[in-house]
Amino acid sequence: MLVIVRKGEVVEQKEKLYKMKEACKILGVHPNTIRLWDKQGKIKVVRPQGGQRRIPESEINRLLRVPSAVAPPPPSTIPKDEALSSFLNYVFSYHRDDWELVRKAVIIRDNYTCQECGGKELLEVHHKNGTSRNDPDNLVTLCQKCYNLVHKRVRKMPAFKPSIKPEAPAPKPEKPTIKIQPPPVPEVAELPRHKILDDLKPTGLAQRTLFGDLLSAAAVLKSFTLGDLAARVHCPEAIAKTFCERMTACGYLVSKNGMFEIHVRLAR
Amino acid sequence: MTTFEKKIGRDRLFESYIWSWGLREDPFKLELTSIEAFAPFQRRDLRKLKWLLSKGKIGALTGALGTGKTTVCEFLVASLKEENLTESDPSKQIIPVFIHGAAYKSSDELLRAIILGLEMDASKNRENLFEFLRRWPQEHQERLAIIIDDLPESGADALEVGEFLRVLADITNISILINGTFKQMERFLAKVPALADRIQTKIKLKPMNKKNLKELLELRLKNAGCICYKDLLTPNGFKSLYKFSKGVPRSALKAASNAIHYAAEVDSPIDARVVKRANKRSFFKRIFSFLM
Repeated sequence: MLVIVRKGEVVEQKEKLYKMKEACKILGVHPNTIRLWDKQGKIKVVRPQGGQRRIPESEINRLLRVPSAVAPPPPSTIPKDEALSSFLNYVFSYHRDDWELVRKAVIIRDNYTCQECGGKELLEVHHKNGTSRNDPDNLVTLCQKCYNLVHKRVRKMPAFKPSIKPEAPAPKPEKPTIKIQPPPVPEVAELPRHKILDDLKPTGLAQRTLFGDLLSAAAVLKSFTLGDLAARVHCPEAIAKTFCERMTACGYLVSKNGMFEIHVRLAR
Repeated sequence: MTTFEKKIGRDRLFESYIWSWGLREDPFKLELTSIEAFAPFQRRDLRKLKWLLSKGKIGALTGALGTGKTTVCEFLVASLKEENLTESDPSKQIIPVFIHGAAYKSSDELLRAIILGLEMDASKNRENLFEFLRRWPQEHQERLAIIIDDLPESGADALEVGEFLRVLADITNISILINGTFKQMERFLAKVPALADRIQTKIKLKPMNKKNLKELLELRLKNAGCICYKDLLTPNGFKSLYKFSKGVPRSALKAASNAIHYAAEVDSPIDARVVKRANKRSFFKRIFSFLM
């Protein structure tokens, strides 16, 4: 907001006007896009002396805050379920040309049910008024039978209005699942190396590689003392001790009066 | 008592001989040993290699068969790991990743091996894994040293692997050391000139000189717990070993191992005669040795 003050009085209160170039930079669109919006009446522009377009600040704020002000208004048939509605909004706003996606979205919206007879198999999506416009209001889910029927009828009657009965959405048919008994769980967990090392939380890569060496040495030795481990890897015993402590804390090692036993298998 | 011992029996003669010198087992066994068993030679070159790894550059280590290329690499890895233990500043730490080159078949597997060496999750797809390395300088302060043993021996396509290494070498804070026999390495690098250009230093390991070889053999005996190793390995015998092996550590150790077995039979310290008898060479080889 630009305020012009002269002799302590507010003479004029002008809104800041952006040039085309500045507005494009802020909105992230091409100048031609703004001209198009102006033609379509989606945006109000001012033309001061000279006749060039100047975009007021309020208009830019409006566009930035509500990006859908430019996009088409949200379709009315979209249900209130939040996740679904946002999905449908997305599909119909940006991917209208992708027929497969639109088709799926409509089928999901209609809850996998034929809107004419309530059948749940061989579903098709039908354009109500015969054109190929992918409007959410124009699309409806039908089963194959109804679809064929409608298309025969459409030639006689140009506008088809399906009699949609308000019906409680039936629960989805459960797939017959064959219960497979899980294979007997091995007593010792099998984990890849990097997961075990992630659990140990080493500080820095050098310690990580060192822990890797210690881990492979432990896997070879199976049951060992601190001294054995340190001698095999050629590292000071203090580091082997921290390694063993962290391993026991994670449950990968079992300690019995000075001897450690590895309780994890390394996956290949 | 195992079936083998029951039917064939143990080598009591050899064992008692070794015991009398205070040893437990053959001190000259060839399998790779810890840092203590490594006798340094060409110290200047090794210092240069270490500097290379800490600066994020690419180096090549070549040499004839058995000159100790792999041992040098393992020594570098072990020493870097040891330094990481005491160094608390992460920007000065160098994390070594040692990869046996013969174990992979493509650059994809090589990438996976690097990630596994860092103890990270390698089950993602290739792009994600490479992105991890690409973002290395931004996300990690530590330097990464990738040491690839026997690079040309892998069955992978040289061009593919070379390009991959070249891209890796361009990332700051990642240094690469590749290792292979001299001829194979030349052939490999000839296929990928872009990689050859980027190689900062090419170090060729030469056979050991007399002093270093003596140091190596005595170190081995000392580590094994020999009481008076100077008596066991006579100067005469050492001279013969050196002449036989021409300073190549692997063949020197092999010859020494043969000699100690033979010495147990005749019950004498290792001298020139024992070495000669133990490592018999055919008449043809002895005469035309200069051809070999």
